[in-house]
Amino acid sequence: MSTTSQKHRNFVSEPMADKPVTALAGIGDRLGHSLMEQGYDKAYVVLGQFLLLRKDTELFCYWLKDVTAANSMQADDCAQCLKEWCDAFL
Amino acid sequence: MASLDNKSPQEISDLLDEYGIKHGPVVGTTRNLYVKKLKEAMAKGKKAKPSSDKTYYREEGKHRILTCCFRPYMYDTPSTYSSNSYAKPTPMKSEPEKPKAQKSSRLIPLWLQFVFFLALAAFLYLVFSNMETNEPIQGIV
Repeated sequence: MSTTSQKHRNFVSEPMADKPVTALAGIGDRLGHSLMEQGYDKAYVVLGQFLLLRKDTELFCYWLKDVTAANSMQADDCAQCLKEWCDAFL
Repeated sequence: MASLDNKSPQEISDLLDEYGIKHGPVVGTTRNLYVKKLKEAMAKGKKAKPSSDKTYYREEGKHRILTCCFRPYMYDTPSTYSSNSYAKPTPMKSEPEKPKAQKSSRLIPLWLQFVFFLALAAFLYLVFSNMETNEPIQGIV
């Protein structure tokens, strides 16, 4: 069982509503800025991408590393965060 | 290989299925990703391009790795890959199943283990019987 960050726990504990993309685990200021530049300004837009990829964490990590300068750990954290959120609320 | 950029989303989707890549809809944001994945899959190995022999080629691809020790000469003739596979359909199919089943989980063959066990049992029996005939057992002291 991997340890989750406080950010992760905060995100998966409630519906994401209009939270910014930087509220996602693994997405800090730099990555958040990069995503916002491409139009992913809210967490739910990234969620949309995650859902388009059929909630496949591997594909999502691949995509995130492709469109941003995310490393494997950051992408993995984000994917896990979204997956758990979906498991709880979707 | 035609450029992937010119293909329609449906064609990309079909190609992804052929290479066994799980995927969602091919839309604006996902197209780039899937094209990259396809290029990777194509570079790794040309498995299952013609859809008619799809399942057969997949088995061949897997078993080729397993039988590489038995048939190294196959790798020297990549250009005749298709002709080889067409020429020897049945031996390739039946052969890989046998070594795969035999060498599945044992380093030492089963019969050898039994022989060793019996030899050990016989040895212990001899030792025990020799101990008995020397002296009657009267306790430890």
